Amino acid sequence: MAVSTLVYNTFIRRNSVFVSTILLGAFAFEIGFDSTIDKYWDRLNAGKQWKDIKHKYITAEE
Amino acid sequence: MRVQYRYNLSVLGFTPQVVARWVPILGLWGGALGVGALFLLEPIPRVRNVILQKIPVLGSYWNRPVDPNDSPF
Repeated sequence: MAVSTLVYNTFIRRNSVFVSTILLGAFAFEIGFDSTIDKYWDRLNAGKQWKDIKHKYITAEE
Repeated sequence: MRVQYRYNLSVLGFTPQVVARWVPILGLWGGALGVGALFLLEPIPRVRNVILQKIPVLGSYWNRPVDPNDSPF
């Protein structure tokens, strides 16, 4: 009971803080979701993307 | 007992009491607008390089250097 009251008082009571919390949550979710999905995609396609095979095609450094 | 009157300053109808009450709330709303602006403008390279990369812990997420050999310019 007290935890929910604490959460309400700090994050939900003032609408400005509530809006900020929602926006920060969206921002954090975007970062987390994008990096997770990118890592999964890279693992699924390991060895096929340019960044993986680039080192084989480097001729003499100019 | 005689009633004592006191002067209450006001600028265009705003008294110190009204100002002291609303300025912190307007400050919080300014913060909310700032976070919203950052969220909506995140893909812009100028915003990424100038503001987002400078965040202490999460800033490295936006450090995406492009090898000059790979760059189209």
